[in-house]
Amino acid sequence: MKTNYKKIFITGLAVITAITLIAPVLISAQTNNSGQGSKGFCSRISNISSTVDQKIADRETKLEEKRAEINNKIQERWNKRDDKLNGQHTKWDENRAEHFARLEEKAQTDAQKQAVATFKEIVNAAVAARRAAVDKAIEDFRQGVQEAIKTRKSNVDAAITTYRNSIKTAIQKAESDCASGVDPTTVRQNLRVDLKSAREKLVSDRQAVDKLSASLEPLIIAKREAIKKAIDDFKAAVEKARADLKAALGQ
Amino acid sequence: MTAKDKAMLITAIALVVIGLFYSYVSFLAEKLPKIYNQVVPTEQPNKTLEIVPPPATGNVDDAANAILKELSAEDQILAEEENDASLITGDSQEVGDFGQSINENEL
Repeated sequence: MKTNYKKIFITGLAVITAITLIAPVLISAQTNNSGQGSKGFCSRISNISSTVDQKIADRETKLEEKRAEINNKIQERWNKRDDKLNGQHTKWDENRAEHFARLEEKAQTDAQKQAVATFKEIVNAAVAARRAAVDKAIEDFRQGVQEAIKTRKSNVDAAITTYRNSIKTAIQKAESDCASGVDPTTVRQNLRVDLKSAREKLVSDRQAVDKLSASLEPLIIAKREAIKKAIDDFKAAVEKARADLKAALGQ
Repeated sequence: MTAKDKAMLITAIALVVIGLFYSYVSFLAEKLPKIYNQVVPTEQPNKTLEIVPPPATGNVDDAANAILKELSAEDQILAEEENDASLITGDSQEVGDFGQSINENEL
């Protein structure tokens, strides 16, 4: 009885091990042989054509949805940031007004009052200039982003059109060869080569487009430089106003 | 059934489970296309503390410093703008999927 258990166990283990090891191979083989061979290939070409057309149409729909999602996301971010910036402006405008009011309270002589008025005028002008320059830098950057999106769309659409036309031409050629009595095995092989070539072209086109879209560095640098200049100018104006007022008030 | 037989049986069952799992994972890796979708990156939440405007004192330095402090408050908002550049290639996965419209090896 004990021997029977062992035999059953060893046999079972051997079978299970064999199944485990060959299962992936069988699955793989099934995948690779999912085509129906060259036999009847010519009669299936029209089906292949309509299936591909449908798949491309479906993917175009998905691409458009994604594009809309990206555009909405960008617009949403811009609106949110504009609101935040406007909120900051209001808050700091109020604070600045409070500081001006306290300085005015402390000014005793006409000369001191005039110095505070000059300080206010210079600072307010500097704030307005800085904000205008920053707004312009943001606007330029956003226009650059929109332009990059537009260029990308154009390049992607061109790559897809090329891909679609290549497939169409390859299938038409296969249909023509079939009609001319070329061996279906040869027709199928040629079609495979053409389709592979079309796919590889699409991959390289996409990589080129991605590379182009990712090169927004000049826009970023331009924005940073414009904002840095606006801030440097602002700081210089405020520091001069500070020194002048301190001298006038004797602080 | 002896204790040894039971142990062997349990080992065999464990091997079967591992084997089946391995087969299933192999199948998924080979058969299924990439199942992830490139998602639009979300903007990182503002993790820095909000800069509070300092109170007015009537001192010139305090006033000038408060005026300059507005710059720090704006910094982060302005820097966030650059993150938009990464959104532009957000449709790359969808573009790449066109290449799966037909598999020449399945003809």
